[in-house]
Amino acid sequence: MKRNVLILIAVVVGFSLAASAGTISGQVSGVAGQSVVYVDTISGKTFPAPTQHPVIDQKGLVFQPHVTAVQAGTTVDFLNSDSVAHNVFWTSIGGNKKLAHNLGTWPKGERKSFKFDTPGAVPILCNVHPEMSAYLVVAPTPYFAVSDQTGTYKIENVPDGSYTVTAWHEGTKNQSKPVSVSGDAKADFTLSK
Amino acid sequence: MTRLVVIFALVSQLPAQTAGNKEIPVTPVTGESWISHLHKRFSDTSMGKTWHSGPAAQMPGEDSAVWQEKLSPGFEARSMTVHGADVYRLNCRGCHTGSGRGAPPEINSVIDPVRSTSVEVIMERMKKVGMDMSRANAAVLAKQANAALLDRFHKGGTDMPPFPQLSETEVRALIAYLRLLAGVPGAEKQQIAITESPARVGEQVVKSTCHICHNAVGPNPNPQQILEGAIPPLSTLTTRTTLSQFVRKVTYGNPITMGAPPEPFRGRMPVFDYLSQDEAANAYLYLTLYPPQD
Repeated sequence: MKRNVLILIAVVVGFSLAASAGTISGQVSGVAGQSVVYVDTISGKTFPAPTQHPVIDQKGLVFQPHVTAVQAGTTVDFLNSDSVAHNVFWTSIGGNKKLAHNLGTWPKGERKSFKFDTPGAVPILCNVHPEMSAYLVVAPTPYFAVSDQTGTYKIENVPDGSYTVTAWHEGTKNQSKPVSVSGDAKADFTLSK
Repeated sequence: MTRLVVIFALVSQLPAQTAGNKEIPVTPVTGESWISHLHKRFSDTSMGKTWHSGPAAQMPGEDSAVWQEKLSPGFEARSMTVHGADVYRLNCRGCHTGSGRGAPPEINSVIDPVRSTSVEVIMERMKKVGMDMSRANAAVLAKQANAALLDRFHKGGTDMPPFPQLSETEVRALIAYLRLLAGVPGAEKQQIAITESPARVGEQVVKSTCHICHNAVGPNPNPQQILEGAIPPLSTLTTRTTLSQFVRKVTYGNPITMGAPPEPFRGRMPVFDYLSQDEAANAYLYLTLYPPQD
């Protein structure tokens, strides 16, 4: 009897969760390549920092991937897979120059980690190879997505509610718009350089 | 042969084998070639190649006397004044080419890693992309890049050999030239000259250029083995060739006998036309004075 009650509770909770979470999807146009779309700060809500460390690799004199998005509080591992020394530095986070940092210069096979607590875009550079660049977008919430090369994106598991959603693309100004999620929501952005 | 005896006689009178460069003594070349170490075939790499070939084998009756030996009299006893540009030529150019741009993706360009050691270059670069950087921050980056560059010379990489034979002074002269090659502002004022013994010059050519493809020691291949791709070890070169033939082979090219029955062919060895005859002769001298070891 006790077990049946538990199952019942589980089913009800499961249903209510399924009903209150949806997706935000759409298209970022006007620019070529990958963009990042994320749900902005939700007042009164904080999120536990993820324990997984995404990796930004340096391989063949290229940062891989070129665009990465993480939730604020995430530790990112910077790996060097090349046989030459690489460096990682950034001059600002979200335009704030006080958050400039030089992670160092290190040889093949080694990695260095950094915890990104402040939301904003981080242009990542290698001093040794000026043609190399990557972008890390630190989102204030766990609701974010990196689009495909055509600009199509989908943010999963967004609880029902009203949010400000922001689109980021390298070299353009961020664009934000209000989006109400009740099940599946759509939000398209047109950015220009 | 008479010539060798003369060389020995002259060299034995030299005050020191490391004249002008007391920091690191001249030592014999040892071990397998760099491409053997990497398990690469000569045909599959750009390393140690100038992409210039020697003359084709002559037809019967054709005159071969186009090349002229022009060694400086007494070259074997004369110290040389060497600039960073020469250190680069003797040690780096065989792989990284005259421009320093190498043969990507196998051989990386030296230009960017060298430019990144300059505070001015970093600041200018960051200004250009609209992310101005303070001199202090640029200096930290430049210092790290410089340490990485020095580390590269001393330890090498996966694909690049280390250069423990280069002294601190030679490395300093080399870096000054690399900065000039990479267009770092003010580099022209930093060039330095050093004095090197003939054996030291020969050592650099052999260890940094010849040893990329030739093993130090090993059996002397026969013409058929050479046709099949064998590369004669350095230990056999001074017996396979006279000084004159060696200098010609290195700086101008000379047909080689290959196959069965043996026939003259142009051969696969690239021509190092950026080396002077004296420098090639110094390599021969060095191989004679410091016989290659296992």
